[in-house]
Amino acid sequence: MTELIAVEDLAAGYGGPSALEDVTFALRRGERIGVLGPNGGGKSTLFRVLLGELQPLRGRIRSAGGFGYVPQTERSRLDYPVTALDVALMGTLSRVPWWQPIARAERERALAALERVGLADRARKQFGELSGGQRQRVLVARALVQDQPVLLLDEPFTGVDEPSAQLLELLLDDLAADGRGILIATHDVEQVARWDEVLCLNRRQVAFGPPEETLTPAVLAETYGAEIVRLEGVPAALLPPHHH
Amino acid sequence: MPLLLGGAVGVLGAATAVALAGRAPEIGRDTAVGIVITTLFGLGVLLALSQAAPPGLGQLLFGDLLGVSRKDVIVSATLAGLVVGALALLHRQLLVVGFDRSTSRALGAHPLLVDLALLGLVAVTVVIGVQALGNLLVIAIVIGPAAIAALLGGRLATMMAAAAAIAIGCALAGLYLSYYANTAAGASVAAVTVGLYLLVRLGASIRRSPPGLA
Repeated sequence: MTELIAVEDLAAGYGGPSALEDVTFALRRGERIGVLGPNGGGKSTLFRVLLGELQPLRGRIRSAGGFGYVPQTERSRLDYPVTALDVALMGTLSRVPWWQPIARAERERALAALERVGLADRARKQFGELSGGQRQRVLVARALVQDQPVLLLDEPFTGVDEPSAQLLELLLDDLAADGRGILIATHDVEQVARWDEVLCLNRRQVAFGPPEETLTPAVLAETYGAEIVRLEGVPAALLPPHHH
Repeated sequence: MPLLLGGAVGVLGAATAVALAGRAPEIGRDTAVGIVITTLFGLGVLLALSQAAPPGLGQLLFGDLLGVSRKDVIVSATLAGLVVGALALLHRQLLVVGFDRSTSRALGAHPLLVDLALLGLVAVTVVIGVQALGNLLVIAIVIGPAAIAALLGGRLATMMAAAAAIAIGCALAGLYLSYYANTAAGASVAAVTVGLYLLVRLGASIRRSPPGLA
């Protein structure tokens, strides 16, 4: 298996004490890595460093190519005059020079991406009129149009209804099966247990490895501090902090 | 022409001041606009009331729609053409940055470049409009048609085309109004624009409210 990203001893911050340190992990083709951590634990900081928006204080990042990025859907404006297809087409900006008009082939690629996320019939709908789950899938389609080997998803399941969340999870499985590497920030421990690797962050790397090794009560307690709640029959479950 | 040039320099200076002040997190963009506008407006009033105020100042404040020369029209048309061309070139960047500024860089956009370009284009647009309507009424024709088009909905590109068409329609209607009602030309254009906005706004809220209540 080829490594798509290799991060070694990474530290990053915003001028003060480092917001994240001791991060070492690798993402290979076809892998889904769940990134767990409390709010302020460094998930967004890690993504910003990978995207090149924040210079690391220390450490090395090697990557095989660029990143397709799926931000949290709450950040996008609902009153903005764009259709689902317009949003998907925004993914061309990283590949096609900005002053060039969009070619027909790109339009077809964007429509294919919308079909892939199950929204071919919603392409001409206004983005703001779609449901939360549909909007999230449009943002995934946009990342597919970016056509990069690695996808970064920032809490894609937050504020998404259950059927949409299931669809989205199946889609991520499919995309990994295609050979993409996927990094998903999430709060859901049960969900992470179904993926290939888990990266636990709490201002530093608490653990990295397969779910059966990392999702232990000790690691989760260190990752989430006092926010852990134990439930019967489940090794450790947690209340997602600030779940909207 | 010197008026146009001086205006352009002043407006570009103001645009840069707004862009720079707006980047300070403790000020914010809206406040930055407020600070720069009130400062410059105060400065303008100070200059206008001084003994040495140039004779053309009244024209700058209220414009002279009927006194526009052939040369003015050619200069304005050229500038308008440049603005439309720049908008077409920048369209994909504008769309991405406007949609979600915080992730626009990750998508390959350049938010600062877009900000500066947009402020520059607004500045040039204002300079075009100031000749006809003056710098007080120009806001009506710059913002009014865009606000009406936004109420009508659609995609960004159709909205922009609709706004341009609405502006032309309002200008023509305003001129007829001023001819028959014997009112000031610039003020009539502004009044028609604002009136149309209120009508469309009313229509939109009636359409949205459930039947029986409307």
